[in-house]
Amino acid sequence: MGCCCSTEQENLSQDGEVNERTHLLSDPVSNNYQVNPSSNEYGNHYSSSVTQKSDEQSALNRILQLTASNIIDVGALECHTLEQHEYIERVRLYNQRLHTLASVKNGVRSRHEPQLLCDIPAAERILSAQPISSADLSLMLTSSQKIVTALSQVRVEHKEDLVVPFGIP
Amino acid sequence: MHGIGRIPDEVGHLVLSEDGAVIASGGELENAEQFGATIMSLLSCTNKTQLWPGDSGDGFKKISVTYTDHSYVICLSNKNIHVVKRKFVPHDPIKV
Repeated sequence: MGCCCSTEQENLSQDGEVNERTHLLSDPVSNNYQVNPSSNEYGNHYSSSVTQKSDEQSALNRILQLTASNIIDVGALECHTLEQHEYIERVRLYNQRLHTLASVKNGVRSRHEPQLLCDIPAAERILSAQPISSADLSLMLTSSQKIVTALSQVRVEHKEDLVVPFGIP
Repeated sequence: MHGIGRIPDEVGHLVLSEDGAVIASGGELENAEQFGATIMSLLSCTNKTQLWPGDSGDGFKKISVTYTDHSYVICLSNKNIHVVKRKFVPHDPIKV
C-alpha cells in the first residue's frame, strides 16, 4: 500500500498482474539505445554495428514490404468461384437485360429500317442531281489514300522489356 | 415509278422494298436481286450516328457509290429504296 510518491516496491506487480502501476507500453528500444553512452570504446563500436545491422535489416524489410504492396501478383490472386445459386441469379439478370436491350433495338429498327437514309418525298429530284464534281472526288480519293498510308505506318515502338526480373540480384 | 430517260445518264434502276424485295427494275439492273441484297447489306452495315455523330437530324438523303465510269445513287422514298445506276460524267464546279 502506498501514496502517490511511495518508493515502496509493490510485490503484486512483480507477479505480472495488471494494476495501476504496470507500464502500458513496454519500451525495449530505448533500453537498447541507452547502453551506448555508458559503454566503452570497443563496446560502443560493437553495439553500434549491431544497431546499424538491425537498421539495415529493417530498411531492407521496409523496401521489401513497399515492393510487395506495389506488385499485383496475378498468380496468387484467389479466383472467386461462383456458387450455383449465384450463377443462376446472374444468368437470369443478364438474360433480362439482354431482352430489354433487344426489344429496344427492335423498336428502333422497325421505325426506320435503313437508318442510314431518311425518307424523302421527291426521289427523282435527288436521284437526278448532278454527280460529285471531279475536284471533290479527287480530293476524297487522295485524302483517303493519305489516311490509309498514315494508318499503315502506325506501329508500336517497344523501348523497355515487357517482363522485368524482380528482386533477384 | 421512274424509268430510263427521266434521270440524266441513267443506265439502270432498281426499286426495293424496305426488307429488300425487288419491286421494280429496269435497264442494266433488271432483276438484279443479288445486287439488291448487296445494297441492303450496305445500308444495314452502319447507321448515321456512327458516321456523323453529334447531329440530331435524320439520316442522309442519298448515298452515292462512285466508280470511274459509272455510279450508283441510292435514296429512300415512300418507304422504298430507289437505286439508279448512272454513267459517271464528272463535271467541274462553276468558278465565279
